Amino acid sequence: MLVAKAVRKTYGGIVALEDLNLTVESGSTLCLLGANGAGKSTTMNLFLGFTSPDSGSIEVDGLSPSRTPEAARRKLSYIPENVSLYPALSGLENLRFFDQLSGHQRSDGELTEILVSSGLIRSQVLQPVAQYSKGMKQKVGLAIAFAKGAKALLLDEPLSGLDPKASSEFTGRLRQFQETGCAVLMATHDIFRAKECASTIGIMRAGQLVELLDASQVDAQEIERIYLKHMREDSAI
Amino acid sequence: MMGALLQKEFLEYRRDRRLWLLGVLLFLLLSAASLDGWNRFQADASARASAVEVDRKVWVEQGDNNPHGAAHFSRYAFRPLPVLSAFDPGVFDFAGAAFWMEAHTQNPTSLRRVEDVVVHAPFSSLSPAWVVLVAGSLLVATVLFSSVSRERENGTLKALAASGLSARDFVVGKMGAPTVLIFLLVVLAMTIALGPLLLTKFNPEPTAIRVLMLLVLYFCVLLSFSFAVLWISACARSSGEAFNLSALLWIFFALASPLLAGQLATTIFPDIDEQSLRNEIQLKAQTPFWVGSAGDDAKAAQERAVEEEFGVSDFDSLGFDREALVLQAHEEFANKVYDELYGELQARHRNQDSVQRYMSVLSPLLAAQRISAGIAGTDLLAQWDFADSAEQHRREIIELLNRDMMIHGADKGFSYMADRSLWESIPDYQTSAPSLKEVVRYYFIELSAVCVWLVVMAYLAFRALKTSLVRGQ
Repeated sequence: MLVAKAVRKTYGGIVALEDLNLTVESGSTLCLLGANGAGKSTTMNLFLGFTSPDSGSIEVDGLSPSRTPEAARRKLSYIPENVSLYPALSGLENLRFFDQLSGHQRSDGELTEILVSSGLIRSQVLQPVAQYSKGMKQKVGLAIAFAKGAKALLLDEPLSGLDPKASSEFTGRLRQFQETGCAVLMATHDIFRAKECASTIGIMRAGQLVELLDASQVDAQEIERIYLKHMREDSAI
Repeated sequence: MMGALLQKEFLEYRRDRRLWLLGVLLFLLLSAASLDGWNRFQADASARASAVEVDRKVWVEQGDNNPHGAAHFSRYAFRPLPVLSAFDPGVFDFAGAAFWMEAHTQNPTSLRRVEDVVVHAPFSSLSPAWVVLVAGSLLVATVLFSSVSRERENGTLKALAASGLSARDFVVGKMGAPTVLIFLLVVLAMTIALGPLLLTKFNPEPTAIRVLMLLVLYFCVLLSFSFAVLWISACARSSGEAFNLSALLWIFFALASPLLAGQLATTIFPDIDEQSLRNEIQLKAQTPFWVGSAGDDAKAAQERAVEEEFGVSDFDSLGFDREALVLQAHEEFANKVYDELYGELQARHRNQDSVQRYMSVLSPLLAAQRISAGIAGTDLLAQWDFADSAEQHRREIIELLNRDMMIHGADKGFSYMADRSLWESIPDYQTSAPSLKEVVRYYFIELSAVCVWLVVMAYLAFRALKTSLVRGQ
């Protein structure tokens, strides 16, 4: 579903990604771990078509995001660290708007159910988003992604700033996506949540995918040990 | 998708307190300005009608009088008062509304409104036209400056892009929402401003076309300004920067450019001092004829013209009054001087106006101010038209009076008395504001400037919006 082949990306001579190769199949989750500047967000932006690779190729369900960005984006849902919503609109209105952009015409009742199933309390649905906490916004973000019915989900640091309960709820909802056959690519710093929801864990360092681990074969401590080893090498460099 | 975006934009407008606050403020300002414009129009129209009536009554009922004495006493020409002056008074407050059609002398226009409105002086510019253009553009800038920059800061621009929204739908939605908003704003503002005028007795057809043209003009100008603000919003690095740049643009367009244009016009082409003009008229038109011998040729030419007209070789054989012939000879002599001196004055004013015209290329709001006054019939073109036609009328009636005295006043000279039948035969002064065709021709550059601004700003906004969405930032 999501494929990167031998991707190189530079910004003004600085290498952001080097020989990146990764594949995320439908129904699986790849969590990318890495320090700031490791290339996680650049990878997301390449899949979203916000930037183009200098060399190599990116594919979303067989489509090139740099050549056909709109078509590729229609197959994706994207949840950033801070879910971007319109503060003057309620959660329901935000969901309705993005749902319409996806070409759907769901009733308010259906949309409310999606919000509730994403973890929002029914009474919060009609409140302006300006009054929402970060966790509540993440739930609306998940609802938008779920309503879109996209084939792939991109998550850029979705857990940062969330309390443990909200993080746990979030990863729980994420598993629902996997069950629908959605391919999930998540960038995160949270090793334990990565272990909890990923099928594969990738470690990025200085623009390269230096480690690819089967999440079912390693425990969290092992992941942390490998991760820190790479980070120390990064510091040494 | 486009419909969803438009719906979302309007929902945001509806919940934008700034829009409501400024909308209420605009409504209050416009109501006050419209009320003032309406009262002013009614007072002026009534004063004008009464002055015209009194002038005619006094003229016709002056009793037996010598025609030249009557020519000195003479009549006034009053400037036409278009109904749209209540909406846009243009230069009418600052230019004379009456013209004394006196014998021997071409007078400047007199009775400027500003001489009588000292109490309201600080608010003299608060016309409905000014409010729609200046306050309306301020409202547009305030509501739209963050239209894209805020989306970028909030991350919703990236979310929109990530949703698969096409650039075309995004651009149409972002530009379509202010288009609808401005259309509603202009229609509402024009209804408030012109509503009372529609109830008055006026020839509806030409005014309806002018109202329609005003509506289209204000719509196009505010739209081009809104596109400029959208362009800034899409290019600015932050909403703060977008606000500062939009505010600067508004200050330049709405406040600085009219001031700058005026200052530049009078700096390049300084005003002619009125006293110097009077002195020069005395020196060239009066003294040489009456005191010197410069008028001899004029007198001889006038004598030949009369001889030719009546088919005689000797003026005296006609038994006409020679004093009247000399008076008319002076008129002909002085008229050439007036044509020269007032011609220079008008050329100066036209040059000043040209500077403003070319300055208006830099500001669609300034261009719109000029066109608006032209459509309303309250611009310099209308003022010049009034002054020219009144002077032409002066010359015609003085000639009629001199001719009557010449034919009927033989051997009586200034003791000849004409009666009511002569006074009644003198036509009343009548004119109308320049036609729309003349207005369009005169303001061709300004109209072109408004169109070019609209197209260029639409293109720039289109490009910037498209790029913003494609990049997701």
